[in-house]
Amino acid sequence: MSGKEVSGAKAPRRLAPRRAVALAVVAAAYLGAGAWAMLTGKSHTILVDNKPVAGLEAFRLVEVTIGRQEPLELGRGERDKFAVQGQSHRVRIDLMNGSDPVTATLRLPYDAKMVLVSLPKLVAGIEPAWEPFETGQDAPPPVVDELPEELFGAAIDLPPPEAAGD
Amino acid sequence: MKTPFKLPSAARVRRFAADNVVVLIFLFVTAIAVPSSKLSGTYIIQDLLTRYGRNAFLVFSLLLPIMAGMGINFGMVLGAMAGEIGLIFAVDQGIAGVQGLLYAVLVGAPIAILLGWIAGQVLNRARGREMVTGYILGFFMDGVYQFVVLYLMGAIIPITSKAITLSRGYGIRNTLGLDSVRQSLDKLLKLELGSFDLPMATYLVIALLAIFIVWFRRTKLGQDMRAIGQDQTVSHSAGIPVERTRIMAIVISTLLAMVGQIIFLQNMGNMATYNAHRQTGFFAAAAILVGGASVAKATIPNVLVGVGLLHLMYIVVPPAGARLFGSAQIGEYFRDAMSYAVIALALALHAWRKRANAESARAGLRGAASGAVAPAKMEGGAE
Amino acid sequence: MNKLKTAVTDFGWPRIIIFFFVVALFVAAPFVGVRVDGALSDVLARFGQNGILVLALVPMVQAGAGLNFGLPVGIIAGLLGGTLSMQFGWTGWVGFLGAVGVSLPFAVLFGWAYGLLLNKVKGEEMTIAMYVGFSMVTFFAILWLLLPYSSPNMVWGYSGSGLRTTITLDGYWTKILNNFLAVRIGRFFVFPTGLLAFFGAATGTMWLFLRSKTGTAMTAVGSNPDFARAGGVSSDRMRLVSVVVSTVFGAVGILVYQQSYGFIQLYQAPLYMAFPAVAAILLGGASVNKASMVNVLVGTFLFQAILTMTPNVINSVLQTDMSEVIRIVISNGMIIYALTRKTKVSK
Repeated sequence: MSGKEVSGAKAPRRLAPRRAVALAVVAAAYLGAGAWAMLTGKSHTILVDNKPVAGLEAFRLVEVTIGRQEPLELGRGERDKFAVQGQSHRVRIDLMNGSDPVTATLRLPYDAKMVLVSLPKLVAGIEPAWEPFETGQDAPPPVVDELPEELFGAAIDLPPPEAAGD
Repeated sequence: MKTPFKLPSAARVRRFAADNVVVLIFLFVTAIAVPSSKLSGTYIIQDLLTRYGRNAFLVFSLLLPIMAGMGINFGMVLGAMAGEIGLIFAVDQGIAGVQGLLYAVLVGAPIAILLGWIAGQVLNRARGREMVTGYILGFFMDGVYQFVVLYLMGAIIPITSKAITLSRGYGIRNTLGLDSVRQSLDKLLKLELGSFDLPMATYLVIALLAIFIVWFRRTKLGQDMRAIGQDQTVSHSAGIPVERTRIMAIVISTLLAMVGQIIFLQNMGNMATYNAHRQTGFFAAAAILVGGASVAKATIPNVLVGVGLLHLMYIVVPPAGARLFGSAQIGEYFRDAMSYAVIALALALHAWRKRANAESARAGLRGAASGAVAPAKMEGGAE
Repeated sequence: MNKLKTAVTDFGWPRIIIFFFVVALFVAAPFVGVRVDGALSDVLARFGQNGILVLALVPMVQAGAGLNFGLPVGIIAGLLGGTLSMQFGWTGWVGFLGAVGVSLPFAVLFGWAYGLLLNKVKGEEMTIAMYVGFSMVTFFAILWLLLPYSSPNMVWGYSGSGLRTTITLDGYWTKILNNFLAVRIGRFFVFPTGLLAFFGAATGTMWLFLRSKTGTAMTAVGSNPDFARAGGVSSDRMRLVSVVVSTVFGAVGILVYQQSYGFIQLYQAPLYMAFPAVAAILLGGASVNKASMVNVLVGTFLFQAILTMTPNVINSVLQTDMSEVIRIVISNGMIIYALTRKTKVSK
């Protein structure tokens, strides 16, 4: 076949620069889209913690908002969580005492699955206000593994599934 | 039938019926099943709207190989597998939302291109029996897929999340929860119209694909594909790289199937890791054929009509079976039987007509034996 | 040397590799604690169990109608025979032979209709055959639920109607061929004389049929249609005969299969049954348009040896069950190999 496709073989050589440019554009778009998807799509869990820490008092009642999510209200000593995507987040903390809400920006490392953010630290401006949080419960309790159904299961003489009863 | 008020002649009616017998049978059965299912119109329409978003993209992936004369690309399941591998990585990496889907597409793309290229090579060696070869190739790759996902992932291919691996430490679980990307495309632009939810972003993606296909047909490559679909020998002598173009048709089809499977699965919300792709080719083939396509000719309206009709049947037949026979199971078997029969019938009708045409051409040639008219094939060959 | 080379190319590298793979499995078996005699006994039983289904593919290949992916059409006829015979309460030899007898008219009828269809679609038989088989299986799934079967051993206990998905043949004709004159040698090896004799008889019948006047005409149609036409042989008629014979053997084949298995499997079970049979005959050296008894025997033996040995041997070596993957890849790889080979005789 290839011997006869002379015109087909010649064409790419003539178009080589254009091809190279097109390839570069595709590669750049691929990498760009990949980077965007990974950076902005990476999911993290942020635990917000209203507990006394390092000599700082906990707040009586706070309303926390991350990004555009629904605000959460936390009483003294309470903890709750936000599921977020991306590494940089605006946190808005309303102390519910008439004063202006505090806003802070939280930057997380890419590979932090779950972080614990201390609200008192964040309000006091202590950096870093977060610490990685390991639950040890990453994996769900082991369940019985099911193996895939066989492609030709019925056509190969394995024991019948329901031992022929009803 | 553009002029409904002019009574069509009996011959025309017969011709129309003969050309669309598959669609008509299907319409007939569904028309009986709709009232007996006792489902409300709103329910049926909402379900159809959802299923359009879920499936149309996959069915579109069959268009190009048909255009290139390669029949129904049952090998599209290779693309579906690539999409599933992409999703496994998206879930494992914890990349959520539409970005997760994009990531899955980006991971799936090189795999789909590679698999499509392999499939194209194989199909080039199986001319005249592309469909059955593609079908078996799907089975074959199912074994390879299982090898990669069940044995290599977590062992050689790094998988970080323990939640998706089997407790033995390698291999992906039988069911993969897609919570992180569940319906993220569908929800991106949700339009509420009366009591109906329309996943506009999904529709937009499908519309873009339709526009791409319309545009693609006019490109050089698209023209080449159509030419090859008409006649390989003529195309070859006209300087079209036949084998390469056929491979391109399969590669693009596989890529589209990859994206289609990701769209399908994000709507479903979880994935049967080892089974999700097994029925993909069957559904897509049934849909496009029910839409009136043949093995040699398929259009965008065929896809749209077919997805609607097939899924209408899938919605209404089980409840209809339950009411008529007292068993939903009968309805389920019935819709499977119908879908298989539709594929068999459509393929048979096409082969039948092709043979009838070939025979009448041969008879014509024999009649004009003194070498007056050479068929188009030879004219092209002489150029 | 050159002759050997052509022989090897003719036979095909994949087959040679698989052949050595099987030999390696048998050689490795004792070292991983698998008893060779026990394994061989299993292989023989499965060889006889599956052989007739593989044999059923021969006539259509010879007549140029391709690989019979529509084998489930015959299988359904066999299932009808089997279930009806049970419904009539026939047991033992009466039951088994009765099942064969009852299934024959169905097989002829189905095969005839199926053959008429395939004659209309020459050149596209295989894909269409596959889907005809699929529709037949699913259509009959409905009938298994609706037909008025009533034997309590077969229908669902709670509703009293509709056949079960698997029906035990205990008390009817479980292993009736396997146990007939079976010779036990040592603790692990059983020679299933009856089963192999039946398979041998079926193979002999097919061999004789292919050498009969009809059989040779059929082969002529397959290998050179124009020549056959010139000789006054009706191509359509011969193809029709080949499809009917194939369907009949399919029906008998599934009954033999199930007596050995001990269960009748209904509903979706026969859906993919053609594929292992096709893989086996190709493994034995058949091509899309040429098959012989030797191909059937060698292919079935090799294929069943792989199915029996891989779970045992490979699993002991790798400590994981990879047999499913190996089976899928080998059987379908074999089919793809055959479909992509340039065939010497063009249609």
